[in-house]
Amino acid sequence: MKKKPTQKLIAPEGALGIEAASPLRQELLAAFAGSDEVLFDFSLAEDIDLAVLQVLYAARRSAELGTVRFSLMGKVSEKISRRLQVAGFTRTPCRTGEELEASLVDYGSATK
Amino acid sequence: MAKKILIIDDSAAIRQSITYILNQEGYETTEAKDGQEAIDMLPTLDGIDLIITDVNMPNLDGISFIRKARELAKYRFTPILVLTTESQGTKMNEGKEAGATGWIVKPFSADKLLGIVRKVAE
Amino acid sequence: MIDGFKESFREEAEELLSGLEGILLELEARPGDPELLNAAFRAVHTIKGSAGMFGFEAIGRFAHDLENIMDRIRSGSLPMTKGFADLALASRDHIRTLLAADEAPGPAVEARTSELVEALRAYAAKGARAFEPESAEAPETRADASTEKPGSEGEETVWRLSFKPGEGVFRSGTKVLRLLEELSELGDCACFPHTERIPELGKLDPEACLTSWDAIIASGKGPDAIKDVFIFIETESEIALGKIEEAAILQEREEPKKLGEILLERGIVTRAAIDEALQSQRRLGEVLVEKKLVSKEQVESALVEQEHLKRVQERQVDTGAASIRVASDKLDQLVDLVGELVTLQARLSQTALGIQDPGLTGISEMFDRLISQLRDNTMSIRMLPIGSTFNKFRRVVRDLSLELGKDAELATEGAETELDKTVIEKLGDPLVHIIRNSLDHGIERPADRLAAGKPRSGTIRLSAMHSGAYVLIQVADDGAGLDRAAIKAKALERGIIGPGADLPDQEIDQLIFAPGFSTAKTVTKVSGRGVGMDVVKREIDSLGGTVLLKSERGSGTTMTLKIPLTLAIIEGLLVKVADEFYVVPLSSVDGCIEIRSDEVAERDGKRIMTYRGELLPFVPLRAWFDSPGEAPAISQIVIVNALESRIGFVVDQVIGDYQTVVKPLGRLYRNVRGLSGATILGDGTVALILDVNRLSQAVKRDPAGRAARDEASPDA
Repeated sequence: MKKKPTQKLIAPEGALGIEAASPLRQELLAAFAGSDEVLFDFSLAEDIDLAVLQVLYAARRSAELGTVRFSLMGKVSEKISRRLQVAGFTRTPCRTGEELEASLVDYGSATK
Repeated sequence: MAKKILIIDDSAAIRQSITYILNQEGYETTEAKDGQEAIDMLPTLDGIDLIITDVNMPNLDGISFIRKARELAKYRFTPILVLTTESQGTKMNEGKEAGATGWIVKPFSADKLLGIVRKVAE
Repeated sequence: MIDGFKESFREEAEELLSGLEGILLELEARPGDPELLNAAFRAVHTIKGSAGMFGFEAIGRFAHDLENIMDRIRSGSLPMTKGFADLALASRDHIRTLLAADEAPGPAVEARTSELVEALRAYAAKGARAFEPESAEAPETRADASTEKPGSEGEETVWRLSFKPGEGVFRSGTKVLRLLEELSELGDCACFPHTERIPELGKLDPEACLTSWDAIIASGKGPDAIKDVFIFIETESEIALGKIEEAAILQEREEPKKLGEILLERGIVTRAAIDEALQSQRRLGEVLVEKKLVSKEQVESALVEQEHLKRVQERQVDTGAASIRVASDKLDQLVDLVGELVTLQARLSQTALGIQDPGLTGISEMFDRLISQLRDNTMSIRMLPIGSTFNKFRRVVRDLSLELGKDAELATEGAETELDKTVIEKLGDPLVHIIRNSLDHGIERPADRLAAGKPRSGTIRLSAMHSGAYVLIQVADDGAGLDRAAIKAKALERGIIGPGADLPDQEIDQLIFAPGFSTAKTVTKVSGRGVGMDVVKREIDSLGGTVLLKSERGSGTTMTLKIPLTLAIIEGLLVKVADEFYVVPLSSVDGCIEIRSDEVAERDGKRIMTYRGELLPFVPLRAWFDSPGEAPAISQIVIVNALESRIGFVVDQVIGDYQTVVKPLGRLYRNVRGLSGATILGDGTVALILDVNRLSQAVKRDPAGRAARDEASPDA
């Protein structure tokens, strides 16, 4: 008997600074433990810090190692889009999570 | 949203001039006249984006203030700039050790101040 | 704009000056009073610091000299005399004059300034042997720096920047992405982040900066402007800035051509269109887009390709950069190869010794020198200063003392001491554990400290220093010291020692390393989690290191870790037992003596010998490792220093010094007590590396030497 696949949506709000990194990691860890798919929604995030971006990269790594799917979604704020582009994480402006997921540098296969 | 900055200096003249410069640029500011007053204020303040503190102050000096501030969960990662003079190169290191983000060397111009504030607070 | 606050400064300075007057007068009555000296210094310091900001540069420069002297008096390097009190008062009055005179002091005032400055400097020079004139010149140099060519946009240069922020930069409130934005404001900038150090979620330290960048930036601002971006974190980060010299000029000229070529190759534009576009001084892409010859997307895509080419090319032309990045597995390979060379060289020199051909001997010796240089060089590539980890410990101390309601500070020393990268990584956890232990068990609560006549705040001193082929890392606290009675009681309770055991202090101390030992009366979050010092010891052992413990009740505990500089290569003494070769780490060898086999047999019951007037236990390795055959008529005893005692090992033959590459033990040997690794000799034979410390402990526990093999086997 297969259970219905479970989904968990994580949509943090506001400027996601370094102080948001640790709680977000905890939230993601819990989500990974209890769901089949984890979605990170950018819609409510105004700004993002490197620490939080690292957590997203780490989540992707975890997803690749296990069976849980991890996806980015939602509208990406202008500020976030610009920051990521300037720092070289994307080549072109990305205004949605899906676009980001496809363009983040080394996002897909950096784990050995 | 305007960034909020706390300015700590025992010299009212310095405080006022920094406040003036920052307000001109649209930053919101709060002032404290020494480290102790600032430490007492910290829990009541909300959403401080940057703290600028002098080093030599009565009651509680800047370095001790930083140490204490870093112990408060709310201010663990808040950028803190130390106001220093060049004759105190060691204070920069002490400040960094205590948890400061950077420093501003006195005397400074408005541009210099704004440049550094933008560097750490935007 | 700041001028508006001039009045406000003037009022404030007046206030400070009148305060200063009172302080100086009081100082005459109480010349050494530190409170007063501090207050005087602070007043002058504040005036000096603010004066320059409000246009009173003359006051700033003058007060600088006064401040300097006061600083030195307050730190005790200059005396406080009546003469100085007078001078200070006169200087104070003069500052008032300058304050009133505003920006343009008359010649009379200036003359008075020089007179007083001279007097101040004379005082400083007289009072101390080492007067630093450089401090007096500081204001001038600063003035130079501030007039730093604001509009002088130099010629555009292409820079390559490698930026690896320290892992702790987030914790000082640094916003790394913001710095890259600032960098991009300096010119045309392309950043390439490296994220490979980011692990999966479970292993991620969310507060550690694990990203680094390579960037190419074309900017007219000088290298200082670029470095200034990172000024606040430059000490804890790795930043290398290099000019892309000729390659840059080449690229600058070839850039339009290349973009054009790509577009041509793709059949998007014609040669004529490009040539025409190149006539104008603007960027080729822009011109072509404007003329609707190509779409913006087409140019962008071509640019991505161009950028890629650029990256490849830049990797090849690695001229300007001050450092290069190498994958660590390549480095490991290099170390392995060097190790093989070292091994082979050992064999060569032995062969040369046997043949006694002067030509061959000469070559062998030269080879020896070269290879040891090569070895040192290779090892030094893997060396990192241990200080990079110190910040983490500071954090541990701060957070933990808060949690435990204690007041403690971490003092560090020898941060520049270099150690093999792998060793540093492996040291992290044990050190955290030791420091936690110090805080939890060592440092007393503030009230208890005060009651014991100690400063309220405890100190944990973390120091690192080189000592031969080892690094000594010391964690010393000024806490209560080990509670030996409690340790003994606990050990008894846990069945680690038998009732009525009478142990010397030193051995009681060692009990804390026994597996499953914990003296915490309550289970705190910190220690008492089941993992104790035994884990620390095990980890240090695995690094080939030793732990020394020294403790004095009431005044503190010092734990010293003696760690080999590198894991990969050790210097050893090659010995032979039956047909097996063993390597004894040379650093622990004290000496060798001969022994007749009948003496070994005779003393078998006790196994004690005299060495330099000292009675030492010894153990025949032949028996210990169950080697077949008979011992030769004359055996050798290798005396080694193990932990804090000496012990002798009887071997058939001592072959000589040997540099060896350590390889991990295969499954077959993993459970054999007393071995730490293996190495392959020049002729392909395997030699086993003795773990002197474990071996000596095992011998102590089981002096008969029976059943030494395979702890895991059921008959052991």
